[in-house]
Amino acid sequence: MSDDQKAGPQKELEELDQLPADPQDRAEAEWLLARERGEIDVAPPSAQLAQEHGELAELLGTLPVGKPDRSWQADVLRLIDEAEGRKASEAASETSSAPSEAATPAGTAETPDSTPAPTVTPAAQAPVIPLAWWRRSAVRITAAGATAAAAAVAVLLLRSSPSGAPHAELKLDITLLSATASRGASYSPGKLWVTSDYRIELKYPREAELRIFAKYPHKKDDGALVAMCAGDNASCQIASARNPSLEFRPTSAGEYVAIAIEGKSSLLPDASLKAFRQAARAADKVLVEQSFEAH
Amino acid sequence: MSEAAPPRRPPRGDKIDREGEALVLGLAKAGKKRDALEKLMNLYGDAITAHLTRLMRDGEIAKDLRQQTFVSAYQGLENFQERSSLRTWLFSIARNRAVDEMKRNRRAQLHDDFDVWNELAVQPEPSMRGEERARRLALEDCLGTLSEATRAQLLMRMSEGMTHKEIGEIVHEPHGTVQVRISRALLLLRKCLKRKGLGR
Repeated sequence: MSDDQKAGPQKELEELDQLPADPQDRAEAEWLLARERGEIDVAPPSAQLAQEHGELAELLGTLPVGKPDRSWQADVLRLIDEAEGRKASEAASETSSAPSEAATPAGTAETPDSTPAPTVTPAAQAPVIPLAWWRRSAVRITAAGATAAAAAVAVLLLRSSPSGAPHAELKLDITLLSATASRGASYSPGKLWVTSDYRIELKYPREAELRIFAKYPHKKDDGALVAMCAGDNASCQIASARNPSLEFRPTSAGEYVAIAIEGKSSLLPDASLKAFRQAARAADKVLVEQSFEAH
Repeated sequence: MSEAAPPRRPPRGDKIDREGEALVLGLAKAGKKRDALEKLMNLYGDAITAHLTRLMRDGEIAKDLRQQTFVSAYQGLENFQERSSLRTWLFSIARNRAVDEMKRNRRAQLHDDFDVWNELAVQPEPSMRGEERARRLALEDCLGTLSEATRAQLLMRMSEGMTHKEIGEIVHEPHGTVQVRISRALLLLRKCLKRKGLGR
């Protein structure tokens, strides 16, 4: 039946903002609505109608689902495998092209320099790679880049505020505090790399939370949470609801991601980077996101 | 009969496989998303298929939407917040996919002589009497005369046992509107069956 064919009494009865014109239909509609509202004391227009509706409810409650069929499930799994395969190749290609995108400040070539880096060095401005779909404002990002160990910020996503109003005070600093050379195995076997202490500090006029995820070499796990500062969290070195900051030492070389969100979050306390990022973005909470590498 | 007996409906939640859902969530939390999805498809694949087939009244579209529903479920499983049952969540995804399809294709509003039982390969029980079979088939036809929005809400309420609030959240309508829509749908269905000579 087309919409045109549905014109007439049926169309009238589907109009929700008015009761049916026919008195009997009206009485039945009123009783049915009362029943839906749980007003079981409302008497039906007739016993026969009550019985018919009882039987109708029985039929609707036992509609057959048909013969069990699992043959389609393989197609769903195949689609997912294909999509994940594409995603993995894209990630691999991004990783292989990362060195050309990551800024390596002058004089930061990998050298067996065990000299501790200067503490809280005024850092060079990190590159900002804007993403067109994300709201953002200009925020100065400082990253320690004066030592051999400190590689650069790879990706930066930031925004004005969840409400859209710009916050001049919004600022995420990733500062290298010290670096110690060692011969690593997890990142590049036999290669000298440096573990570093970082201070990661968010300046924001309202309550905020910081989380640090290890993205690499934990890529298969979608990024594991390695540190969190939610104002009253024990891992915060400097705890302040409006100015969360933590000192963080990577346990292995690789890529890390700092994400700051507005408010003290109850979002997925143990979530992976991917899950947390998705949830935070869906809730429109992300203030700033920044990647950095420890070599 | 002088007083109406309460309508017989599936008890609330009786179609939710709590044990199965706990297993799915456990697998998802353990990072075994693929295993979780397989279990989820085994649990509710047939119910989603039947719902989408009745909703869209087109077997091919229903199968396509089923596929989209479970792919979306796989992608969202790790963020599932357990604010509803997995079953309700799946129906919500299916509903969204169906709405997207409706926007592209007005097929679901044609209400033709689509044979739901044939599409779902329903095998009537041998004990089913001719009159009951006729009533059930007539009901499938009558469901096709409802608008898609009304049909979807009626099926979620009467066949899936969802609450008005749950349905309202899924279809983005106040639960009072859902109550009105369902009560009108029941009136229409009873009249439709009567027109087909299958009422009392």
